[in-house]
Amino acid sequence: MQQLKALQLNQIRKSYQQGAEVLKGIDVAIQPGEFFVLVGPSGCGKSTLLRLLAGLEDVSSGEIYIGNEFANRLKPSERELSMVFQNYALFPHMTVEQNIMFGLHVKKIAKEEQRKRCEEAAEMLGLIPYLKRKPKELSGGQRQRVALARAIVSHDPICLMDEPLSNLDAKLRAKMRSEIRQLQRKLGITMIYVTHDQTEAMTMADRMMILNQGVIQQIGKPLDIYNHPQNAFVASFIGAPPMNMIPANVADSVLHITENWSMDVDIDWQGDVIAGVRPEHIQQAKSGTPSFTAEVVNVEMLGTETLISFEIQSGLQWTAKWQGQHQLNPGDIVSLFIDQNQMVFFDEKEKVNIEYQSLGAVQ
Amino acid sequence: MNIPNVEKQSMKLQTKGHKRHRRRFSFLEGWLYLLPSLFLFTAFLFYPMVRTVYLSLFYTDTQGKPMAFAGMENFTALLSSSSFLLSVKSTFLFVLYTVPVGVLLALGLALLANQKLAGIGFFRTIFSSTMGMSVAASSVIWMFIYNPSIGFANRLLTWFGLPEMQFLLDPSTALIAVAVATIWMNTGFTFLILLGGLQNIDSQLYESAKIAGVSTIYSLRKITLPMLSPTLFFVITVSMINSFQTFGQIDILTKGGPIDSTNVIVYSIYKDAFINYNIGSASAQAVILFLCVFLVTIIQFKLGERKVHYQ
Repeated sequence: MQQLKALQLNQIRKSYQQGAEVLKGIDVAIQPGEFFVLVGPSGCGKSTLLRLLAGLEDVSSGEIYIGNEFANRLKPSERELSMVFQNYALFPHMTVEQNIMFGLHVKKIAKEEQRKRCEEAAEMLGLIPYLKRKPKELSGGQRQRVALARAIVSHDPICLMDEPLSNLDAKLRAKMRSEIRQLQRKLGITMIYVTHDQTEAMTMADRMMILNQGVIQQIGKPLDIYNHPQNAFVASFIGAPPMNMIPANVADSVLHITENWSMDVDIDWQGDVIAGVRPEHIQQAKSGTPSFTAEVVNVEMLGTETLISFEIQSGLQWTAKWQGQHQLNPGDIVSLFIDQNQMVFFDEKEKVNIEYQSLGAVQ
Repeated sequence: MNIPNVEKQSMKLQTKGHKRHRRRFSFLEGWLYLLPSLFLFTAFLFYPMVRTVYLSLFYTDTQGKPMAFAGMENFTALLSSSSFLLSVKSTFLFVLYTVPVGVLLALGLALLANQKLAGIGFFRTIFSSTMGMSVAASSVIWMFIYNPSIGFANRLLTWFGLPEMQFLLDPSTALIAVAVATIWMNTGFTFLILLGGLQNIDSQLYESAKIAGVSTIYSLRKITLPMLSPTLFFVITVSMINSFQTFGQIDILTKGGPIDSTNVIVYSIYKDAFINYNIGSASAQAVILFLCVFLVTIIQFKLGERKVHYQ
């Protein structure tokens, strides 16, 4: 087995000749054998970062270390990494076998060993029956597997993936998600995976980095990020449906949300805040709990859960997620309850989670 | 579930007559759209073609009117005439000189111009500029270049210490000289088509090759050429047909001379038809040229089928 490799990025910046900076100082250390996901909305710079790592583009400033080696000036082929492209980049005129073995001769691998590796990879991905076919004779999922097989045969310690599942339908995507994850565990490679889909990020990542407009928003384990979003952007980006938010005011430990709804909260804060709550934390009120009422605007029944949209303020809709099936119709009045411990607060100006701000103050 | 089905069926019966009527109408409508191009093709292509084949079977007067049926005699006369056989030879040599070199040159330029460099647009414009130049204008330019006393070509030769040459007046160099001029004229078009083909190749294929670490030559051989093969095939076919039909530059530069060394078939047709007024023989030559081009193109398609990778 090849040696595991870590990656270290110091103050990576990238700007193109015309136009603004795409990446504005990225600092991150990726552990050996880690499944690391870069996630963000389109245009946030995540694909650019991946291309910088691959050596397909040069950084404007900053340092890249692969293993312990300074890698800024290494050619893509010298970085010992493989890459899976969004549209798979398969050679249409070559068979699956030729595609998988493409470029292996450069690494001075004997023909026999090449064939053995190709067969291993094809076996692992269930491609054995298709080895003699051309890519156009394969389905989308099979092409995807060929691209994965190509990344595996090189036995490189690092694998980069650029939105590899975005061309597949939803069902296949879910399947490939778990397959890629299992493959990465089995081979123990360091994986850097770019996606705009927060579900992919949540389900696959050991750790993930959320990028927006070239700036790191938060790095951490998926659940930590979900439960303790650093700022309002992360809170709304991670989680589906997104976190409900509303501008509110705290005065003497009482949170005033709307004219006729306020609740006691246990935070050390005075003044304007943005209050946020995840849909699953807006529960049906039982008798005796402090609650507020709202008129249902829309109901989505998903079988195991029900999504209820209601208007909390004119022009601002919230969504609640209740377990099970609830027979509700638009126009019904529901009683809702929110546990104050489940609420997240962001300061009004910087949109930063006040939990982190007080931490910062202590430090 | 059954009831609506039955209803539908009875409705189908009712509308069957209507449908047939409508189908006939849309059939006629389709022909109506085709009519203008059919008319133009018939007037300027199909009719002249049929007429040429017809005339090639007759002895004609100086007006081009058929006088007596000749059968195959125009053809047998041509095939035993040494001057026509020389024309055939010159034509094939001319194709051989112009097509491979022309396509390779344009491919080289296209590969260079396909780089992403600042100011590459300037070179792309320059390389394709001969496309915007008429055959007459470019022929005149080359006439000056080849001029024995003031021409640039001879000045270049003397600068290198070589003896001066009579490019267009020497039977052993005239055909090559015209071929060089033709390559230059055709480069623009061939270059532009090949550049378009190159730009259609997905850049991620090259990036993938870069990460694999293969050499530039290897990715040219294994990625660029196979991916470009449909375009190359098109360009080779078109260049070949063009080359078989070369007329303008020969008329301006050499008029088929010296000693018939550049008397390619099309020029020979022109001379027979409009100088000697021997329309029957000229038509027979045209038919032979047509068959040659047809044959070469078919061979090309048969060979190409195996080598070309359509996506």
